[in-house]
Order: sequence, then C-alpha cells, then structure tokens
Amino acid sequence: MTEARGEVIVPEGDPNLLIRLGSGLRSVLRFIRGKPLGGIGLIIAVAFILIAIFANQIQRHDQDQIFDSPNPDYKANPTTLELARNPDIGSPVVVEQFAEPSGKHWFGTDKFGRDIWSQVIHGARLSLIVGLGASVIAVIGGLVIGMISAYYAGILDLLIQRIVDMLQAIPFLVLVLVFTQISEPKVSYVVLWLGIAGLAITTRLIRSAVFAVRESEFVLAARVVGASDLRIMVRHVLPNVVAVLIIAFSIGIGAYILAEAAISFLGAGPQGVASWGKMVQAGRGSLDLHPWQTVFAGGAIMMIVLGFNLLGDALRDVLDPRLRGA
Amino acid sequence: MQGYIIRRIIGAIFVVFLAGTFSFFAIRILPGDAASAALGLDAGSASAEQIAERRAEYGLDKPLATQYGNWLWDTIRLDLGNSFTNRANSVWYEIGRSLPYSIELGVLIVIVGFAVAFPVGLLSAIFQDRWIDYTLRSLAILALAAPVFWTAAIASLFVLEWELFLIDVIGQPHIWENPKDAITWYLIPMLAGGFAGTAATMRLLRSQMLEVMRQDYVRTARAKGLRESVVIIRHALRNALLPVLTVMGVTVATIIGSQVILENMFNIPGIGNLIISSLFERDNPVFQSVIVLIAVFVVFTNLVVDILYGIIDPRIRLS
Amino acid sequence: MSERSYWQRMSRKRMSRRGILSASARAGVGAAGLALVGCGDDDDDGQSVAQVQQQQQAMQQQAQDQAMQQQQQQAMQQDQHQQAQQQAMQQQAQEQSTQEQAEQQAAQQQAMVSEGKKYGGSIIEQSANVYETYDAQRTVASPVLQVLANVQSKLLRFENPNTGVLTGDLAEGWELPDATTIVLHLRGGVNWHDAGPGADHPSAAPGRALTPADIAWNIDRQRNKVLENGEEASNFGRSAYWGGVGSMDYDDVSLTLNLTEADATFVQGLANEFNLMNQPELVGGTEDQYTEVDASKVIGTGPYILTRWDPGEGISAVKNPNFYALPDKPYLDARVWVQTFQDPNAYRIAFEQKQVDFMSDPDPNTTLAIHDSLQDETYLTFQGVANTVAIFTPSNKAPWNDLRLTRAIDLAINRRQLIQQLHNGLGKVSGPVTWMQEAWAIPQEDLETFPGYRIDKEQDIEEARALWNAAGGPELGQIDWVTSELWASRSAWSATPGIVAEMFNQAFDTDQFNGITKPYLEIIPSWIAKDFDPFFSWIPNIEIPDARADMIGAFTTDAGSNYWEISDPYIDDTLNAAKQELDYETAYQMVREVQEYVMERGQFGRSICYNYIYPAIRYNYNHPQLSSPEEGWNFLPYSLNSVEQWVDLDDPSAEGRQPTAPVPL
Repeated sequence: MTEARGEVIVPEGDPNLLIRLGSGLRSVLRFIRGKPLGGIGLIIAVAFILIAIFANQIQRHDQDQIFDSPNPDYKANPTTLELARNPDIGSPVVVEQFAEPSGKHWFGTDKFGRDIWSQVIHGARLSLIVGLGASVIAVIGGLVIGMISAYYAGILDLLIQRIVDMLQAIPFLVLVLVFTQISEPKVSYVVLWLGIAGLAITTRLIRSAVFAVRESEFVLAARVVGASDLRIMVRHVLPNVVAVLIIAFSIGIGAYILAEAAISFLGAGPQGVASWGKMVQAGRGSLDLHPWQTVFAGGAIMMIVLGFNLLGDALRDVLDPRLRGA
Repeated sequence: MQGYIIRRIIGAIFVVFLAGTFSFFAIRILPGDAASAALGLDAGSASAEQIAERRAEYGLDKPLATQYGNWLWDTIRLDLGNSFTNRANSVWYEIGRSLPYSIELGVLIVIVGFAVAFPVGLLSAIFQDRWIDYTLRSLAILALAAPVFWTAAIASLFVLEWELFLIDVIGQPHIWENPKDAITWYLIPMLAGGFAGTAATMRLLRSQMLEVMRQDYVRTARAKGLRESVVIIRHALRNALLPVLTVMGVTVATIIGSQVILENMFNIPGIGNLIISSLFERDNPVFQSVIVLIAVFVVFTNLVVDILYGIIDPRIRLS
Repeated sequence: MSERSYWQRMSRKRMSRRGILSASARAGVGAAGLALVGCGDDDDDGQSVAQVQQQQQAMQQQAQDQAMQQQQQQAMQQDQHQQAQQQAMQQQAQEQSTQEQAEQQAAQQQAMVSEGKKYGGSIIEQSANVYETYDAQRTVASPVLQVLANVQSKLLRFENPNTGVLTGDLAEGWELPDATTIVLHLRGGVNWHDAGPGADHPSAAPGRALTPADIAWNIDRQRNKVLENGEEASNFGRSAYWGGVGSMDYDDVSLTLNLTEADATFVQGLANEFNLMNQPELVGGTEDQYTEVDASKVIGTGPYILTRWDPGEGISAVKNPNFYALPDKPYLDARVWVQTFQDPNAYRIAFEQKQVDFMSDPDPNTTLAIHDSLQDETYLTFQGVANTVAIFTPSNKAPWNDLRLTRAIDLAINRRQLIQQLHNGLGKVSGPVTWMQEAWAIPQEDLETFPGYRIDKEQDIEEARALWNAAGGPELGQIDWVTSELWASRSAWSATPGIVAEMFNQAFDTDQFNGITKPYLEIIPSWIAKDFDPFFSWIPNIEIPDARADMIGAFTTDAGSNYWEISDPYIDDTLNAAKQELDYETAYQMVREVQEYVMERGQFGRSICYNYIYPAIRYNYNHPQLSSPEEGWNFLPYSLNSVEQWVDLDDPSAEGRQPTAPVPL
C-alpha cells in the first residue's frame, strides 16, 4: 500500500541539486521571483527566526515582570461583600490586569499583569525550537531507518513498515499526548516526542526514495566494483535523496508547531516557557471582554505556520521535477 | 490478486496487534494509575492501603506479563471488560455510546472538507498561476495554518454574542433524532474541522489535476472537440481523484485527531473525548480498546482503498 | 482600578448591540413584555422595539427591586434568627434537654421559609465526571455528596454551614449528659423510599421504617472497618471519626454514643456531609459492587428519590412524596445533573442558553463577564472556597529541615499578590486556620502583624532574603516547585507554575526556582510516603467549621495529615486539651495560641496562603438558601439546599429556559 501512495509525493532524485543550491543569494532571489508565495513564506519564516533570536532585545519588558501600582483604596480586613463590590480593596498593590494595547504595552497585559507583547515574542522561541527541532529529529531518524529499511529490504523492512503503519494508524495528536504524558513536561522532551511521532511520515518518504535509487544503474555499478554498503549509502544514495530530505524537513515544521500548540491548549504542553497554545487557552475564558491575549497568540501561530507551509510548498514545487516547468 | 489480498489482511491484523500492544504498555508506563486517579482532588486523606486496595480491584497488582496475556486473550475474544472510572459500564457500552457522535461529526467534517476542496482544487488547477489560483491557494494554506481550537473559539464567541443559534451542548441530539439542534451543535466544529482538513485534499487534487491535464488522453479529448467542461469533469477529474482517495486512511486519522480537540470544546461525547478522559484518568481498558478501534478503522480503510485501487489499476497488482 | 469601569463601558456597548441584533429573535419575548406592560392596544407597531425593550427592562428592574427588598427583609429575619441560634448553640454544649429547643427551631424555621417560596419546577446543574462509589461512607471524594445529600439523610444537619449551627435530621434532638456521652433522640415515622430503581433492587427493603438498628449498623461498619462478609476494608473515609465511639446503646426512640475519650468536636461531625445513612440490606448486599455506580444501588430516606445515575451521561432525582418533613419540604419537583463539561466554554454556552441554572467558572473574570452580559436575568453570589490554597515545603528532609529555609519560604510568599493574580483580588489571606472558620482564625487585622502576612511586603522579603542567604539557599541549585496539574489545567490558572517560581526568584533575587506541574496521581503517593516535592495547590476540603479537627490532623505527632512529621510536645498538649474543651471561648484561645506558635516557625513548612472567594452566577428564578442575598456558603451546603432550594417559574428570567427533563419514577 505504501508504494501506491509514495508515488504521489515522492520526487525523483536530482543530482545537481547541491550545486544549484550553492549558487547563493541569486538563487534565493530567483526562487522568490519564481515562487512569490514561497518568497512570502521565506520572509515570514526569517522574520520569526530573527524575532526568536533577538527576543530579549525586542521584548521591551521582561516577559515575567508583573506590573502593579500602589492601591489608594486599600482597606484592611474587608468583608466578603466589600471584596465582591471591589475586588482590589483587599490588596495594598494592584496588578495591572487586562490593560488595553497602548504605547507602554503594545499588545496590552494579561490577567497576571504581564506584557503580552513580550510573551508573544518569547513564544516564537518555543514554536521555532519545537518546529525545527522535531523536524530535524524526524528527518535524521527517518533517514537512518528509511535507508536501513529500503537497503536491506526483506523481513527487517517488513517489520519496520508495519511499525510505521502502526504509528500512522494512531492519530498524530493522540500519539503526542500519550508520549508527553510519559516524561516530564520539558521542552526538550516535547521536541523529542514530536520528532518520534513524525518518524512515520519521514521514514516512508525516504524509504521510497532510497528504493528508487537502489535499483539505479550507478548503485549497481558501485556494488559490482565491490564498494561497502556504508560507502554506497553515503556516497551514492545519500546525495540522491537530498531533495527528499529537504522536502521532508520543510513540510513537517508547520504540523509540529500546530501539534505543540494543540497539546499546550489541552494543558499537556511544555511547562515554564511562554507557549502560544497555552496563551490561547488562558485568554479564552473572557474572550469577549479581553480578547487580546487569545487573538495575538492565535494570530502568531497562524502566521508562523503559514510562513513555513508556504515555504515548504514552494520548495517542494521547485525540487520535485515532475511539477517543475508545469 | 487473492494472494495479495490475503497478504495485506495479515499485515493489517499485525498492525492492529502492534497498536494494541503499544497502547497497553503506553498507559502503564505513564505515571500514576486509575487507583490514585479515582481518589481525585480530595485524596489528600486517602491512605496507602486505600490505594493498594483499589489497585488490586483493578488487577493492576499482577505482574505485567500476566496482565498483558490476559488483555491479549480477552481482546481476541472481544471481551473488553468494564471501564475503570465508570465501573458499572462495559467498555463496549462506552464505545457504543460514543461512536455514533464521532461518526456523525467525522462524516460532516468530510462532507464540508470535500465540498470545499473539490471546487477550489478544480478552479485552482484550471486557472493555474492566475490570480484566482493564488487567492484560493492562499486561503487554503491559511486554513491549514490556523489552529482549529482558535478558529472554533472565535466562531463560537460570535454565535453567542449575536445569539445566532442554539449550540445544544446538553441535549446532545443525534442527527436522526433532532436534525435541527444537532446540526447547529455540530456546525462550528464541522466547519472548523472541515476547513482545516480541506487544504491538504485541495492541494493534492490541484497537483493531480495539473498532471492529468498534461496527459495525452486529455489532449486527445480536447482535439476531438469535446467541450472543456466535459473534458475536465469526465476525463481529467476522474483520473485525478484516484490518488486523492488513496490518502483516505491518512485523512481519516487526521480528522480523528482534530476531533479530539473539537469534541472536547463542544462537549460532544464522542471517541475523541473518550480518548482524552481515559488517558487522563488512566482508564486502561477504555483507552486500550479505543486505540485498537481507531487502528482497525484506519488500517482497514487503507486496506479497502488499496484493494479497490489494485482492482481498478492493474499496474499496482504487479508490484 | 479601571477594571470596573471597563466592564461597565463594555456592557453598555454590548447591550445596545445585543438589543438591535436580537430584536427579531426576541419577538416572542417582546410580545410577552407588551402583555405585561398592559399596552396590548393597536398602538404597538408605532412603538419601536427599543422602547418595548426599555419598558421590559424597567419592569424587570422593578420586579427585581421588590424581590431585593423581600430578600433583605428575609435576611434581617435570618440574622436575628442566626444570633438566637448561635446563643442557643453555645448553651447547648453545656446544658442539655435540647428537645424543646429543637421544636422551637423547627417552628421558627417554618415561619421563615414558608414566606414567598413556591413549589414545583426543577434545578439543572452540572454533574461531576467521576463518582468513585455510591457509598458515601467508603470514599473521601466529595462529588458524590452533590447527589446523595438529596437522597439520603444524616443524624444532624447544619442549619448554618458557616458557623456550624446544628439542627435535627434523623435525630430530632440531642443531649450531652457528660463530655463522653451523646444521646440522640430519633425522629419517628421515617421510612425508606418505596419507589424508584433502588426500591426495585432485589437486595433492597423498600418502604420499611428506619430503625435505630439501621443507624447502629452504619456506625458499626465504619468504626470497625468491616464489611458484611467479614473482610476488613481500609476505605471507610471517616473510620477515624467513628472510631471515637467506644460503644452504643439504643432503644426504639433513642441512640446513645459512648465516646472513648472526651471530644468536643464530635457532635458537629454528625452533620458532616459525608455521614449519610445507608440502608443495611441494599448497601450491605451490594458491597462487592460498591464502585459500580448506578441508581439501582441507592435508596435513602431523604427528600428526593434517585431515578437515574449514569455517570458522564446524566443524573436525576424526583421529589419523595413521603418525605418526613412534608408538606413543607422539599420545594422542587426534581433535580437533574447533566453531564460534565470538559471545557469551561461549553459550560458557559450551556448557561447562556439557559440549559443549566447555575454556573461558576474557575476564572472570576468569566463569571463576572457573563453576569455583565445577562444583568437583567442573573445575579451573583460570592462564597469562600474551603479548599485552602497552601504552599508545602518538605521540612521533614534535607535541605528543607533547616528551619531558616522553611521560614524564608514562608516569609517570601506574597499572599496578597497571588490573590490578585490568580483570583482578581477575590480572596483573603489565611493563617493556619482559614479566615472562613471565623471564630477560630486569627482576625485579619492581627494577621497583618505576623511575618509573611505583613502589609509592608518589603520588610518580609528583606528578612526572607537574610534567612535564605544565611542558611545557604543560593547553593541549593535549581529548585523545582510543583503545582498540581489539576490546578494548572484550569486555563485561568495555567500560568501558576511560572508565577510561583517568579515570586520566589524575585524575593531571593535569584533564578533558582523553576515551576513545574505534576498530577495528583504522583503527588498523593509522595505525601503518603512523606517524601514530597515543594508544592503549591489546594489542600483537602475542610469538612466542618470546627477548626480543631484539622489542626490536630496536621500538627500533632503521627497524625493523619502530618506530612512534615512535626512532633512538638507543646502543640500536642495544647491541641489535645482543646479537643476536650467544651467551652468554646477557651477552645478558641487555645487554638489561637497554637497558631501563633506555629506561625513564628514558618508554619513548619505547611504554609497556608489564602482562601479565595468565587463568584457564582444564577438565573433570577433560581433560589437556593443563601447566607445573605449576595453571599453563599463557605462550606458544603448540599443537605441544606436539598430541602430549602426552590425555583420561581413565574420570574421573567425563566422565559426561554430549556430544562432537561428528569427520569420519572
């Protein structure tokens, strides 16, 4: 069943790819001109990467800083009813909750009196680490497993394929939820688990590509000459699946970012860091009165996923010869 | 052909077995168990003996190998046991209650998805690289990028704010019982889920259409002087559809995934909700059975699609 | 703060927009409004919809004002009544022969409640997701009480759950001949339910009279922790309490409990919501299936008969036609609990569409916001939450067994800031005894002088930092501070782990503290093993207003909830003396002294922070028994409301209500 489906998305190898990619800025410009949507995606992605790197410079306030001011109405020992009429009365300082967007707080403040702008900025870090990290793990893992599976074929291949089938038979989100429950809710674990959950797709893609290359004449020739398995894989097979690797890497990023946001939304995401999914959930309760946290965090998720998806699509179009020139 | 089908069925059963084994060990590796979960918030006053007694009642004190053997044998006999959290209910009862809701919502999501994806994918392919193509593709890719929980939350805010219609989160009507209330209840989740699921199908359809329309037989049809609409619908679309249908298995899994969140948000007591609650409450029998059920569903959807595909397209059978 | 005015601004904007948009949708309501105003003449199409709506609102306002006045009058009566009760209660402990008083109470009560209350209708509320068992005696989880308090009865009830004023239930009156004896005068003519799924169960004995032997059976199984088949069961949640009963004597009309030692807190425990009476035949006959919850295994003597109990799907109970307090009680025809809302917004959707009659969101903002958008139809009440919020430092093991570190943590907790951040200021700081147990707690104005509670937080923090540095705090490396997952799963509180860590980081000028979450599944076993992580969350519910039981449980040597392994002869002696003290004033004083002693020692790592207050919202037609028109109860009021709650279906707010029908008898 894999072959039939593999054909749909797996491109043929392109030996000249590395050279073409190497021609630097000019090819980037050509890429943008040829694929304007991809260009927009590239710009968005780069913008978010810059934001994440320079988060501490852009943030304007410490993301954890709680803004408060002395309370002129403070009254010691208020009754329940006095508190009900003016909840602030019992506290000598008042936290600046739910401030509207202003010059001081561009995106306003959240329920805890923290600056939403800085939190959104720092949320980019988590999303990028999760998206890129999980994708790297999935591609490297998929490469190793896919190559072994395709190259040695036989019973090992069969077993790996059934495990991959199994991983694909369980909804991605459920898989990630189960995984993240196992370990402590740390960023590194969440990245790892997302990468592992994504192995199914990358393994399948890469295996099909290796299969195609394996039967090609130059691999046969190398085998006849007596080259070792490892040498054939690294010298002959690998360069011919680079296009697939890039596609596999770029198409997953958006999905991992969304998955992290979803598990954070459900309360099972990484702890102790700003997460957009968590922010959407936190602001949802009083969305009609204080929409800013949910709106900006959700908007950020959408933008970053959009950027990476556009970029990934365009890359696939460029790298997949069958669609090139269409 | 027969040999191929039998081989495929054996493979499918093995995959389901793997999924069940995975769920069995996964829920046992997770910290905590139903015994301590049941004691809940007030459990600060629960004693160690109380928890141990509970564990024994659930059979969680037996060695893992024994538990696994029992589970496997019971599952083969289709004896799924009783839920740990609602102990008066059998797992079959829980599934039987939840499944219709999930199927309803799932089907609605698929309908919305295809109803949007088909015309959009088609238009996008016909007007390739024109502004209409760019606009539609941008919209599709935007729909894919927006988290369903976000769009659903904002949509339900507007419905409530403007009192547009009733979202019956309590009556939980089935479509065949009370179509009007059921549809309004499902409306937001089905649109949110449908749009998010649309994008992938739409883009696949577009690329397939583009490929098919370059084929000789399409050119021949055009040369014969057939009308463009006939060419596109009768010749191109039919052939472009096949590959789209082959990814049904993956589509189904994706839809179940988004249902997990949407059912949670709209109080739909379906399979997605059952997965979450059984996972968080460590309700082992329910969790294991639901995972097996989903695996059966996805794997056999793939199987049927592939076999049908093999019958239609003889090239596959040879490989 | 500007918050209030923001709401007002917002609501004005919303009102007008809603008015326009919903004009057509509300055509039916508009017609009803016209009829009310009495201008059913031909003129009505000349009138704009807005005008009609204005009139309608004015009408509602008027009606509401009247209702308010009535309520206030009632409240005044109630206040006087409560004062009388309180005095009565204090005498009670020393004097005996309460029979007369009980009769008096009953008469007073009738006079009060029969005014203006209406019969009929039902109340729809959210149910809990998991019910551990249908046998309230074999659990420590309180959700089950929400259902059973309406179906079963206790020996005594709280008439005022806040102060602990008692009234009779299955026992009409009680005497304390001496400090170790309690004589209960049992009510006559009480019968077990004779209809419903429970009555149809083969093991049940429906319709028969309740006997003293039934009650003795209930007490015996709990104090001996033994099931019908002779096996011992460890899950009797209140076995420690009933274990205080050394022996029992009973005849046809009375039951005498002989305590093993003087215990002044015992009487109040009889009204603990958990101490419901089971029917021996049914519960004894189904003990092996005690976790398989369904309606057929529940029979009681209470005001409602359970007709459905399918956890996760629905629960319903209908009025017991033979309830012993008839014709007065209960007022409702039925109670229905719908399935749990996994998502807070689904709960809100249900409430706004009048599918449930009550709601409360963990985020007070949300509750207030809903009230804001439905001002004409709903009202708010505010009540304290008996799940105290606390920070636990594992002072029984290194490095936290250094008292300086424990004290530093206690000092650094910025209690008022937490209340602001997590509860919008709705809450009050609590000492070792919560402010809700008013008579027992250190008054708020005194509390302000104690370290950790001072208004001038800088002073606390300065001292905290000095202690922290002196005890080598900076060398401890990273410190993971655990918040319970259940707490952090509420969206309003999801940022808590970070906030708690940040609070300590700021106080000690460090970045050692790191906030994480763990599920109760992991936390509870670690408490039992007395090997737990630093912790922030709720601690178990306070069951009765008498604070002595909780203090003894937490601070005396080897006590059940003494997770810090505190062993201090002064505390042990004082609290044990307080337990036997029948004079309340003396007992208050003793408990207060222990609190001061404990607070000087950083609360031994059991740093109580605060009890928050949560707003609850109800439609105007929903009338539970409240402690004042705007205040609910701080402690569980289930059995009080089982007989006192009523609905006013003639109220304009009942228009468009969509109640779920109960399963009939």
